[in-house]
Amino acid sequence: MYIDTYAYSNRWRKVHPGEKGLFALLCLTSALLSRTALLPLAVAAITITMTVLGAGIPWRNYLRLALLPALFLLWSCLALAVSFSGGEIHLAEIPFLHLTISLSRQGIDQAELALARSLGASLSLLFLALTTPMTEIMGLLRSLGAPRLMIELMTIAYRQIFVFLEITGQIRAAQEARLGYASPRLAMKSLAGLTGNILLRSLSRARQNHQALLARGYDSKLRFLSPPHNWSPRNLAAAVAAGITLNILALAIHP
Amino acid sequence: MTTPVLELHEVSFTYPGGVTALDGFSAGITRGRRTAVLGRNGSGKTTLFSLLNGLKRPQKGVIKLNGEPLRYDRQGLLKLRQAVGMVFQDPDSQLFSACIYEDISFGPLNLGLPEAEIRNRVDKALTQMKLTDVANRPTHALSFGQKKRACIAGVLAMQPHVLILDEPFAGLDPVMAKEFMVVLDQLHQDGTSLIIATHDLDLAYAWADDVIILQDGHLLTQGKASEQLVLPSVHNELGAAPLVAELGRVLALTGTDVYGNGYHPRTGTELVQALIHQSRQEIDP
Repeated sequence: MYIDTYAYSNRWRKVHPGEKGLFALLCLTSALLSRTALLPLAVAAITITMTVLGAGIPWRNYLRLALLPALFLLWSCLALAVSFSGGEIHLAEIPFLHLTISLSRQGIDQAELALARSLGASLSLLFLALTTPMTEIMGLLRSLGAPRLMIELMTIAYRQIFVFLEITGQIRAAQEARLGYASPRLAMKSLAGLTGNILLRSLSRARQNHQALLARGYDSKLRFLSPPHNWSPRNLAAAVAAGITLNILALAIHP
Repeated sequence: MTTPVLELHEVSFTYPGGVTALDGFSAGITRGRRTAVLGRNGSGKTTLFSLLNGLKRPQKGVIKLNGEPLRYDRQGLLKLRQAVGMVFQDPDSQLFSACIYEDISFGPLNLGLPEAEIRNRVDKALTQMKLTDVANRPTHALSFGQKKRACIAGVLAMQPHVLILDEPFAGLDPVMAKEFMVVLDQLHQDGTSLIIATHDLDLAYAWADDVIILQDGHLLTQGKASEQLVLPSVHNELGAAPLVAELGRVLALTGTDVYGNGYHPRTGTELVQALIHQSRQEIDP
């Protein structure tokens, strides 16, 4: 839930979501297009700086959020670096049963590039996620012509997540207050009760929501306007200039 | 006598399961007044509100808006829902978006208004409900009172003549309730007819001009709040009487007539003032 809290409270909250979105998108494409590991790492460094120093997300929590995908990437790239068949130039070989686990220069290069690219790309997206509230990202998708049904579902689902969490918390607290989780056996029973209860509550809530929408003239189209944001020519120019430069570099630099 | 803004003639509504919520129910809502609807749980208040907003259609009887029977086609319903706004008891069942700006724009957009007009109305509703400062926050970070105000803003943006509120004071602390009362008074002064459902007799006695009291899907009585809420039959049905009215009655029995000079205290504060006024007169006639 850190992400959601920061998205609403960061220093760049008022910046037009289009400017942030464009910047994140251009960073993403340059990281993915790059053929050297250096450029995506530069993209990562830029987005980290923007998120921590620019938008003012505390670096400790940023690290915590970024570490999860980074560790995941690291492990998968380790798997990319080693091969079981064996390449031409082996840097190291470990016999393993009747196979040979080998580490080749080529494999390392490949893993390095993949790691850098995915790191740059995911940190670009993390920048957007931490600086722009979900509703504004949805508004952005909507103005880019995303299907109406998808936006409606996202809007309602996003809102309902929090309602759902609240109800779950309440029922769980009520169960715990009556020692519902005192033993593993009781815990299983309580959990079953919780799940069933939530299903019923969700159904009745859906009915209520539908009635409330009808009361305001709903006719199977969920129409709404996004709050107005002002484009800043300076921000837009900076985002486009930086983004395009990165993309040109990505295309120009050969290993 | 002007036409009531809303009237029900011999209206019956039975749920698919066979439960009859309203049976031959007739009542009228006077334009520009504050009406409280009272009745025990299950007496048909919620069904009544759903009928008034066109969410349900009566199997028998007629409902009239400004003297004209309701039409249940698309245009008719849209017209009705523009004229009669409905605020639900639980804000979480009304707010569909995590952004209250988006939520408030929903109603006016359904009315097919131009965008500039809608944005104007949203801004006005936000100001009116004192939500401008929190409009940037997500719905899930708002307090219960703020969510409730956001619900009302979403209905006000449709500029209804009649505003129906189901238990508007439930769950509000006394400070919020007082603030909310000011908001309702403002709407009343602007000429909106207000209808609220409540279980709070003291509140109904203090706030409402008129009352409609339901009993098992029938009309028990309706009329001026000050006259109806002191009836023994009403006490019997609702299980209590307004405290101020009771105190006034007991004081009158002991020789202190707080209703002197045509004065009619409706709240505890007004009663205390009336007593102070009386004791001064006794000391210094």
